[in-house]
Amino acid sequence: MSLRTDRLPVSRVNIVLVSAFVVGGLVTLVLGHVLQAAGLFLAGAGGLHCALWARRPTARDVTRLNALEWRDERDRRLGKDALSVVGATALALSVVELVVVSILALDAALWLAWVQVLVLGTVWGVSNSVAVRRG
Amino acid sequence: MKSKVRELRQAAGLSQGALGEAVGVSRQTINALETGRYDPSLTLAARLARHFGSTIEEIFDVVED
Repeated sequence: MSLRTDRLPVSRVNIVLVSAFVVGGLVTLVLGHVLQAAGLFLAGAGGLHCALWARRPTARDVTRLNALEWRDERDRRLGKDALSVVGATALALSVVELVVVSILALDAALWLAWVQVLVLGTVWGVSNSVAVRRG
Repeated sequence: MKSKVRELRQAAGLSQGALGEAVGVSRQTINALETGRYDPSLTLAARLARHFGSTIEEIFDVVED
């Protein structure tokens, strides 16, 4: 996943995130949920503002990392290190969630927890393979 | 990793930001290089060497294990 895009005003991942908020807001608005739509639009606007703020030449490195606006190889390395911790944490939390939901025997939540663990586990395996191939 | 980036940059009369812009990285990355907190990629090391008209070995003190 490349987050560095010199020709775009913000990174690709931020374009996807902001677009998700805007499209979600529009759909929510069409469904008649005005307050929820406003919340999604505000979240999208806030995310876009943060991304643009992080793209300033004088932005601090931690600002760029927090906004997923990596500028150079050091940003990429630090960002990937941080995201790997996030991934490991998500994997551990998913297993805890699966155990808790299994104990409480919540059918729908149990199914979701299984899917989450399987998806995260698959992503982890693929990520490891890709990292090893790239050396 | 120790390097001579700071002395070469100061000898050239460049700010960290100006050098960063010249070699395509941020001011913070140049600062991290100068303080030994970050080891550059081969590409960045070569770019710095080319910028200063030097070699990678002359700029970076690569300690062999």
